[in-house]
Amino acid sequence: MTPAVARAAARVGPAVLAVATALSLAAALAAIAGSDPATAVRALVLGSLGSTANVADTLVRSAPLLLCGAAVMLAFRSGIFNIGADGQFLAGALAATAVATRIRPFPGQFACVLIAGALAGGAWAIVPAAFRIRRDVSEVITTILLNFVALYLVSWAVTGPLQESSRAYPQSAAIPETARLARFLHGTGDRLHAGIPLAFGLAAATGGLLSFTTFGLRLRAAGLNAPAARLAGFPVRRDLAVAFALSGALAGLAGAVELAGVTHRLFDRFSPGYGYTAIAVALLGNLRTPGTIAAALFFAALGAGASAMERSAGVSAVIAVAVQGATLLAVAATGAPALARVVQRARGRGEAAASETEAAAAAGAPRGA
Amino acid sequence: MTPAHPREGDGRAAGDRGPDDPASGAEALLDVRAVVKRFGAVRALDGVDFRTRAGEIHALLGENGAGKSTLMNVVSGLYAPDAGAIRFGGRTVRWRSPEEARSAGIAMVHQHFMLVPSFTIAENVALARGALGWLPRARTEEATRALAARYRVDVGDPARRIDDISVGDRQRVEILKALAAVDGDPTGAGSTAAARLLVLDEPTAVLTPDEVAVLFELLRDLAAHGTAVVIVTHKLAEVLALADRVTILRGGRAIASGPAARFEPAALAALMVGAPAEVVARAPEVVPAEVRPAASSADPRPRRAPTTAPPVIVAERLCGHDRAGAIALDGVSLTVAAGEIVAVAGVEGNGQWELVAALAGFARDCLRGFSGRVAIAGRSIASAADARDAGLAIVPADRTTDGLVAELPAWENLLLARDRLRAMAPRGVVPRARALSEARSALAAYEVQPPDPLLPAGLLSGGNQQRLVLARELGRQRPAAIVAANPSRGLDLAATAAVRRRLREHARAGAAVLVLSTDLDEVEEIADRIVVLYRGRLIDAPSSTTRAAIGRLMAGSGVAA
Repeated sequence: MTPAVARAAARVGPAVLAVATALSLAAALAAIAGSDPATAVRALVLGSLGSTANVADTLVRSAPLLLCGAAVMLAFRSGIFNIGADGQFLAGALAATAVATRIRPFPGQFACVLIAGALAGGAWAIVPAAFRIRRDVSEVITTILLNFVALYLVSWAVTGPLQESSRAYPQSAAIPETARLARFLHGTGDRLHAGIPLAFGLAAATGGLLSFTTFGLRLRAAGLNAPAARLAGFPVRRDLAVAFALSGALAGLAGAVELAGVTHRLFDRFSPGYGYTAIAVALLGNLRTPGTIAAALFFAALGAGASAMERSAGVSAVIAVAVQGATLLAVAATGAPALARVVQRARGRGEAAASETEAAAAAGAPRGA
Repeated sequence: MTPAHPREGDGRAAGDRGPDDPASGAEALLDVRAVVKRFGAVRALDGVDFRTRAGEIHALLGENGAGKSTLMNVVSGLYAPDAGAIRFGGRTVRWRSPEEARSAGIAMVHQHFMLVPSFTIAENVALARGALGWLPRARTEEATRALAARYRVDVGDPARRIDDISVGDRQRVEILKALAAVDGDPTGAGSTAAARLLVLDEPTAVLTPDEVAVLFELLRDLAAHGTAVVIVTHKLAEVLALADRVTILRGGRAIASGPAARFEPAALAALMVGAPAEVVARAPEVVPAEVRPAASSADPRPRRAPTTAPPVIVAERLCGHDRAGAIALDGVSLTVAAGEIVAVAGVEGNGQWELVAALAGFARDCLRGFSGRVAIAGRSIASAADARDAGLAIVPADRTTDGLVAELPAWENLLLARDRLRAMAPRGVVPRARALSEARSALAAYEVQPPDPLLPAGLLSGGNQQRLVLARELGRQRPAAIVAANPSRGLDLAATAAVRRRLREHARAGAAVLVLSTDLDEVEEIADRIVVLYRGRLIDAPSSTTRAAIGRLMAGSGVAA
């Protein structure tokens, strides 16, 4: 069992170290900002975990991070550099808003809202998939660029076709009751919504799909090494497209859940960067479900705690963002296995492409001679 | 049996000091004594001795894992030895870095090309010199020309891109790079440092016979001008053709060393593998090529008469162009019957890969204007899924790009075949415990080291990656057909014998076996029938064809004698 223990330690160790580093940094920043570091850290911890309402706040914040984190986990483990979860999140929210506000309310509308969000997110991811499959264009570029397209598409929608009828603010009308997600445990501040258990369930399902099913093995093989998957007799192009679409659908669903469960309106700058934070979440979680859940909760707690810290210790909540960044740097510096794998893979793909051209040249050589 | 003695042994151990042993004189350029190198619990080098002198070509022989590469990495400063001493040029050295070893005059050429494909020859050479920043094109090209002239390494026009040159040219650029690194001077102007020791790790693995000849000429010339050349290899024929002196490693020790001429070829093989008689008999490399007919009495298994068994692999008029537009397959028709082993001999790049792609069902993905018909076990093949469903096992030529997913653990790589995955998980959920235990026995049966099913395939050594692919493809129950490209590449003699035995067993059990190989010895040993692939065309080689004639067919010169 010792190797298993060692493996587990190797996975968890860097994350623990990273979190400790991040909290020390928060204290140091608070001190620099002129507050008492102890008070600041206490506010940070109590603000996220100190009361049922605070825990509820953390859980509410964790849902979009968890769904986007699952999207990134699925993509990265399948050899796809989906940096576009933010754009897919926005595309999902946009489609969800359209279904929620442009259709006459009907019972069970929320289900259609969620499905619309997932479909739109998946469709948003199919574009880079097509570029990669047909033209071998790196999805790193295309997914990032599509983030901006989605960002401005939302800006346009909330000042145009989806704007509230009073036209007072750049935001949509509030979505009808039938489109909202049910709330539960009302005593905790009436904020916990059905999207939260859904997010946890889907994160677990994503991990299970990847690790334990033949389909998951196919998805990973197709993205990591298409020639090997093709030789195995797998439908590589289809599998690759499906992996992109599933990743996008999870992120799009996150957008719909955030809309239907929390904000109830679409507005300009709808995503505070969930899709980007999700990359940190998935990597900190070592691209595995338990780790990703823990990392999503950690980042959510940081966000919730930072607001409280701002209120009670007078330290700007911006510190939370700095801490998030520091955590990721610490993960990178301690050599988190997931990050190492991702980087290796990026390099590997470049080399594979190079050796392919080499092989082509070699194949051409005797004929040219 | 005791084949392990040198020809004039007279009871002397192979490593005994003789009048021409470099260790007896003070002139040994490199003198490695009792060096130990441990990796964790493994003693990769276990008190190895190795001596070589200026102007000599020294072959370092051994099986996979014997410690050849480790020894050369210690010599070139990549690893620090745990114990023992190294003397180089008459003084004791302890390299702290490869740079130190380089500046002392040790040049190393690695097995895998380390060239930037989009750079020119001159730019790659300048990189090796440690060039940083902007270098005028004319000057780097002039420096490359000067260096090439100085060492008489012909690389042609240094302005050509690596992308555009042949594999043989690339190897010479690698050698030039290694020599340039010894120079150190980024501009290459007025440098006087000289390479005193050139180490080449498996330099012939990717070369055609012609290119090997050119390489050997180059190495002989370097040696004649005083450079010591060490060539790490497990090809016995090369040793006999090239080396002045041979050292054989086994289990991290030098078990024999002496002038190449003093070794019985069979004894070399026996020494390398620890002497099972079967393997010695199976070292056909040692028989001079020109005198050995295709079906001589020395053949371990005479070729069978034409078979009347039903055809299993049927390919009809396969045609197609590669991406560059050159003809890759030019009307290939081929039939392999149940129980038959057909070998496709040929120099790499004459359509082998395209033929495998066509038989495996994905020619349309990689060939332009592909036409023709493939059927396996009576089933028409239009996709890779069809081929797998028809029961085709495929050993691809390039295991790292086509055979394995480096990031996935060994056990998952063993499932990377549609039929195997379906058999393991008919309902779509992989039973992890059973898959792991089956993987463990497969890794043990194919002697994959280390036999850890959770280890990512990319962390295995080249030979062990090949074993993993073989475990997946040959480890299945009764495949209808097998297409294997260079199945023994990167394997040692014992593992090679095991692979060929398994192919024969599958054939005996009724599989149609097609082996594509660039190695004539392999072709002759295994095949019931030989065909030659040259520029996308298949040429039959009747069983009376001599080895020399097959060689001529592979080179495209004329018809069978």
